[in-house]
Amino acid sequence: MNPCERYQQLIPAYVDGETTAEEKAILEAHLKHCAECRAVESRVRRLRRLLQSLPAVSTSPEFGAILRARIRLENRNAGHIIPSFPTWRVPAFGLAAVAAALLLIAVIWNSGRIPQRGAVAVTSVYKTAEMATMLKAPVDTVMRRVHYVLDRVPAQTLGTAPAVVASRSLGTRAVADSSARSARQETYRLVAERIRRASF
Amino acid sequence: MTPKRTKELEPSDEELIERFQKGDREAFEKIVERYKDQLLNFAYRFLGSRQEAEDVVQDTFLRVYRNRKAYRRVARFSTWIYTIAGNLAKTELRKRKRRKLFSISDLGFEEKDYEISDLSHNPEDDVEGTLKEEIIQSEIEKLPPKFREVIILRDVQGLSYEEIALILKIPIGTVKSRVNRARLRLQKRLKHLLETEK
Ligand SMILES: [Zn+2]
Repeated sequence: MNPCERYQQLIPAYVDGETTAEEKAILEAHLKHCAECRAVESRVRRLRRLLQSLPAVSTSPEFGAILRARIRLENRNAGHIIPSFPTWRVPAFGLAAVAAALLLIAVIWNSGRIPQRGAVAVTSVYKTAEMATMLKAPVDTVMRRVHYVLDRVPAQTLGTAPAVVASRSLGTRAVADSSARSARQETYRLVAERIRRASF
Repeated sequence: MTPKRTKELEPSDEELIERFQKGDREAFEKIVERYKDQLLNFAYRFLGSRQEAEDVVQDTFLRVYRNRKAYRRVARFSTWIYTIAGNLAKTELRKRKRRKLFSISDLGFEEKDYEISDLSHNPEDDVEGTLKEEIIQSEIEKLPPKFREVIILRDVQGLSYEEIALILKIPIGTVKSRVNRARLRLQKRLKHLLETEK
């Protein structure tokens, strides 16, 4: 065995400051004389810097509101507002899917009648990525589909008009009016307001 | 390690979770604020998908909310929450495999009606930087999950070997050897990037 191998095994922990004082002293003494081991050390340091240079990501702006809404939903489910949802667990939503599902739930809470005409829009309580696999479509297409659903739910359904959601433990089927694309902003506003008002 | 404190004498994580256990919901909000981005970074580097990562972090907080009573002060709060997030991230990975086994293709959307939303990057984005990030990320994703989680916790999140050992419930020696092997592998795969790195 190359005598340096023993030293080189210590190098990653050394670079991380995780060696004992004794190991550190032995390794440092060796590094002074061994260019090869110094090269190994330098590679480990560069790799670490490279990994540390990965840009940090932050949660989306809706993160908190969605979390609050999910918690509220879970608390509500315990009260059998939507009995066909399993009461012991809220399925994990994709962010867009949760927005759609919350919207639809907001709609049911406010109405419950079936529309006279309308497009059948399907959204589900699957995660967006799960839906993407099931639909054999890229995630952004799924997002657009969810937006499509949102587009078709008229603002006034939140007040008086109709929508129905038949939920199964697997998914949510929404029947929504198709004529209200322009009402999208108002819908978002109303839903956002409801989410904001939601308390744990 | 001592609990995080600022000049303002911010409560420690452990104080916050205890307050939350007694019913203080604001304490929960503070915990979310404190951990959401760091958990997202962990999950994102592990899964490679923003969407899935955000789901995992949402689920993590939901578990914390639901299981708040299960936390005991014998463990640091950060260890506890990272263990939850790590398990959920690994579950996500397994689900991803299972999902590929079945599909539903007959839901019938009117494709033509969808507007194409602009998902492209900011034009001011540094193309080289983005490319470099993509290369590193794809090599991280090629590591087996047990090496991947260790190297992310160590080199991206900057956690100590001891913390990693507690989070993953493995001996420190195992952490050490996984860090070594993950680094050796990445060094080989990222050779060209390392040569230009000062
Ligand atoms: Zn040597």
